[in-house]
Amino acid sequence: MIELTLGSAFIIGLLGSSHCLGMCGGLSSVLGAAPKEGANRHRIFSYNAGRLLTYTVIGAVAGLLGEALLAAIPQSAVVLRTVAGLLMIAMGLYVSQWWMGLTRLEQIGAILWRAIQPLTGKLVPVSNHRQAFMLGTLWGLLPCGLVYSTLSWALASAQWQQSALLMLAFGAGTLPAMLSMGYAGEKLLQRLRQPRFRSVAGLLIAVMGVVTLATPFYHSGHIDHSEHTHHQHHDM
Amino acid sequence: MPINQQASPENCFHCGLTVTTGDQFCAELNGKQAHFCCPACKAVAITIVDNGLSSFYQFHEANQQAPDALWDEAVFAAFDDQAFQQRYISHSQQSPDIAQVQLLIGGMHCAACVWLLEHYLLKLPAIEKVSVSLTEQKAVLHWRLQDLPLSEICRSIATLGYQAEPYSQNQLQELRQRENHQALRRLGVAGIGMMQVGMFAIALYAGALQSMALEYRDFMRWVSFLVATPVVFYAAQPFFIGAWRGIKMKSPGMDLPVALAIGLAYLASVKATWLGGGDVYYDSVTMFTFLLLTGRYLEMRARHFGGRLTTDLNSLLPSTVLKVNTAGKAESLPLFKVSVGDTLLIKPGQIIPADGSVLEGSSSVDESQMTGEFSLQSKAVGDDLVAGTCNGSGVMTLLVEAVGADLKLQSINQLLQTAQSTKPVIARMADKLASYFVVSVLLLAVATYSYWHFIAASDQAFWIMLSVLVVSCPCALSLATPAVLTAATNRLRDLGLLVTQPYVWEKMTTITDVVCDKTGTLTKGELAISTVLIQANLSRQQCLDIAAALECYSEHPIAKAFVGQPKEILPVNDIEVTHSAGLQGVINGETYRLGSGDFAALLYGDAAASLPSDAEQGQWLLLSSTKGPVCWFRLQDSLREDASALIAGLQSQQLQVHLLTGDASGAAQQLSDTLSIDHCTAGATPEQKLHYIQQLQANGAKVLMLGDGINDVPVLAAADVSVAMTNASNLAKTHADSILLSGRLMGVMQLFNVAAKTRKIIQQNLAWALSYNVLAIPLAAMAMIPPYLAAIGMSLSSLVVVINALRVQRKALQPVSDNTLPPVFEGVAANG
Repeated sequence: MIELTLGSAFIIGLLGSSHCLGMCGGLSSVLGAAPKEGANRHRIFSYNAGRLLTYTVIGAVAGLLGEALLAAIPQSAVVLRTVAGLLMIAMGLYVSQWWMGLTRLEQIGAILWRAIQPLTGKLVPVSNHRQAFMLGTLWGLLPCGLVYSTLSWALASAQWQQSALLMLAFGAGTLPAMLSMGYAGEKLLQRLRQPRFRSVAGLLIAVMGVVTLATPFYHSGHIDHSEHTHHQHHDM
Repeated sequence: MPINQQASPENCFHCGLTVTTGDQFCAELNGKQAHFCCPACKAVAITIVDNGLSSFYQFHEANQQAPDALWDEAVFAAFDDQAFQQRYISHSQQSPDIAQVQLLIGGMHCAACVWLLEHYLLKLPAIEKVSVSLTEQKAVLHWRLQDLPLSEICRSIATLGYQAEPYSQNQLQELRQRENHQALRRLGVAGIGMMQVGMFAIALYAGALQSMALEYRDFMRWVSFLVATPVVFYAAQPFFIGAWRGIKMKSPGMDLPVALAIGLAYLASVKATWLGGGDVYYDSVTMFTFLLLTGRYLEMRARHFGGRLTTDLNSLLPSTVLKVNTAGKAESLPLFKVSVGDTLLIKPGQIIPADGSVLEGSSSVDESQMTGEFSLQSKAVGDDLVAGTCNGSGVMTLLVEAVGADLKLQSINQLLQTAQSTKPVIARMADKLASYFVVSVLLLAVATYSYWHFIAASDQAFWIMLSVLVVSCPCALSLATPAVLTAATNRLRDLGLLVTQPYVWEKMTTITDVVCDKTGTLTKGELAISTVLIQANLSRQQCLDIAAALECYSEHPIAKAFVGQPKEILPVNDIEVTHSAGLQGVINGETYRLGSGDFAALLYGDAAASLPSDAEQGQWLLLSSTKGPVCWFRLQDSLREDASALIAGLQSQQLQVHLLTGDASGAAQQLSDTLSIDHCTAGATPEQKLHYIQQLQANGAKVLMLGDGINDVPVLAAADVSVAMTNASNLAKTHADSILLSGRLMGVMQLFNVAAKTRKIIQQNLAWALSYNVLAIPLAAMAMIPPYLAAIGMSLSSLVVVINALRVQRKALQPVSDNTLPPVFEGVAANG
């Protein structure tokens, strides 16, 4: 599966983070880490470390589920892949705000969030690194369409180590935008949120979704060297 | 994006994005209904507010303005503000409903942008005239203000993808800094990308020779892809934006071929990377981008250097002034609150903030800003002061006579603008050529690819097509002329010479004859009464009073000799002015004439008046009444220091020099002899002067007329090129192709020199641009230019044009070297 690589996951994270910026926009103020506040801005690292940990864990869980599913019904691989491709397209449309279908998925996730939300109360406002880290782990579970779509990839790759790494790579892709919140000027962040940029990013994600759908058919007649590439990226 | 997002239901309460899902996600927060774009935003907002952090949204809101909001409604609305407009908009004297404004345009980078803006703006209703200067990043608009507000124009420019704001030097500086930083960032990204990808490319080429394992090759390709992507989407962005703009306006510019080359090479590479077959071109993609950006960057620096000389009043003038209030005390006041009639205190070393006259005190003033003349001018009560000039060591009070857009320095700028707003024929032709050019290049690229791919069956076809797309440079063609003209205009402005008509450059090189006026032109025109011979039973003072009363109706330089002479101001009736003869008027019931002897003598019936026999030679004026001669005045004028140098200089260039003057006294012939002028015609009426010029032209001469620009208007207009010697106070009344503010006659020589140089450089530029394209494109199509050389060639060709243009501006350009001239003629020439 040539396209379900860590590199692609990273890029999805990167492209999708224009959405995250809006979502987590003034988060730095919640962390007490607005750029003005000097030393406290490092809390943003703890916060993101927590978030990435959550992603990695839910990635591993999805991978285990995928493995179990594949062991039980081998044919489900195609189905998982198709779902992943479709969700990826939906994510592209969602990031570009052309079609907000993913919000349905988020609504389901919101039920889960209701259980988690009260826990955040003890952590806000954040006053130290531990709290920031904990908040990050919880915030990673926000009902987020981006996370869900990438998770479907993790599920489709059906190997728990690989799935965990996929989600980690996705999280890492969102890091440049998220970390810059404490440091970069507002100008850059605002630029990333312009409709034009979001459209391009969304389009690229959607294209990746289309390719995910199309690749198995395309490769059916070729020598499949995707496994090599796959491992190649493991070594990165 | 409206600033207040919380109040508007269509934006997400949390992240500010447009809500496209209707009322699906709502929540009540702090008693207010809030809309969200997605459940996630809703969840976060509830979390934040439930945790007592709703103040977050107040903080948040302020930072939510997108960069577009920089140009939001509030800014545009400010453009229509009355006080704002007073500062930036001027109205032309001929048609008061036509307003003129200078706009600073951000985001222009080549001649295609100029074309686009000009054509787009001309399509708007109410716009009369547009001229856009790339070097100065400025657009000058003439339009009917009441039909179209300024904000509307700026908004339309913004929709084209440029930023427009009223022009001021500070804003220009800021814009340039911004553009500079941005260009450097892009250049950096492209440079680093090029190096990285280049290294991988070497590995890939080596690998291709040694049959590298596929997975290693693919790995290299993927990494190259990652590095090249930001180069294409960030660094090469200006090319894509430019290309898209061109397509949208149906006038493809030079960006289109470049964008196509970069885009095609990138897509082909991505395809090859994804499918694991074919060739990748990441190295050429990054290299194109880097080289073209480097060329552009250097060109931009050169342009910024070239445009720096424009006088900008708003940055020149102080922002606050000292106003003398009714109690006689000086109080500080912002400049824009000053109005006509105010009295301002001018301290030593201060820049004079408004046009006006000296009310009290005296000082010496450095007027080089105005005239290019660096020696100090002394100013006493009643003398004119010009805004933007610098006070020396004295203290004065200034009576304000003009502010804002009516300032004299502003009208100088306006004159220069007019000159630059009409393109010479040759530039218009080049522009037209350039616009066909792009289409031809695209067709040629397709043809080239077809040939190499299908007929020659070469696997190099794609490469060759890229070369063709990149190598062509219509930009050099359209830059060739305007860049030189801007540089030349700036150069002369620096010397106190304003060129107000664009055809001056073309016509100057054909001039065969120079016709000079005398008074105020070759001479200083500062006449003084040296002798008074009374012929009637009147006192000297009475004679002076009568003469002064008559002369105050004349604008001839002679009139100045009488200013300040009268004791009492006599009322005059039935005033009549006869050109180059004199004046007639009725004072206290008696009719008087003042003028040449013959003219004045006619009043009492004599055909000719005779001077007293003991009188010396010179310029004499006769004051007469119906009863007989009243008084003779002898006027004396001094020759300009460099008059002799000018005549010698002109003659050394094989130009015929004519002296053509209305002065009928012997002074003209005497002057002509001293200066060894080729032809002298004295005592000519304006009609005769006009006829003289037309006669010269009928014999095939091209005439440059040098006059004072006020009394000689029809004559000046008839000449092929006219140069007026004038000072700033008369600027508004002056009509000439070029205006010499410095009072230095050698400026005329400079005009000849700069014009010759300008013409030469324009020819060089056009020749270069044409031959480059004519040579390079066929060579590229024949596969003889590798793509990297194509990119270098294109960048260099427009750079060469701009740098060559700047040569005009170099100070080293001196007129005729001094040793070829006879020693400067000194001393007072014959009278008048």
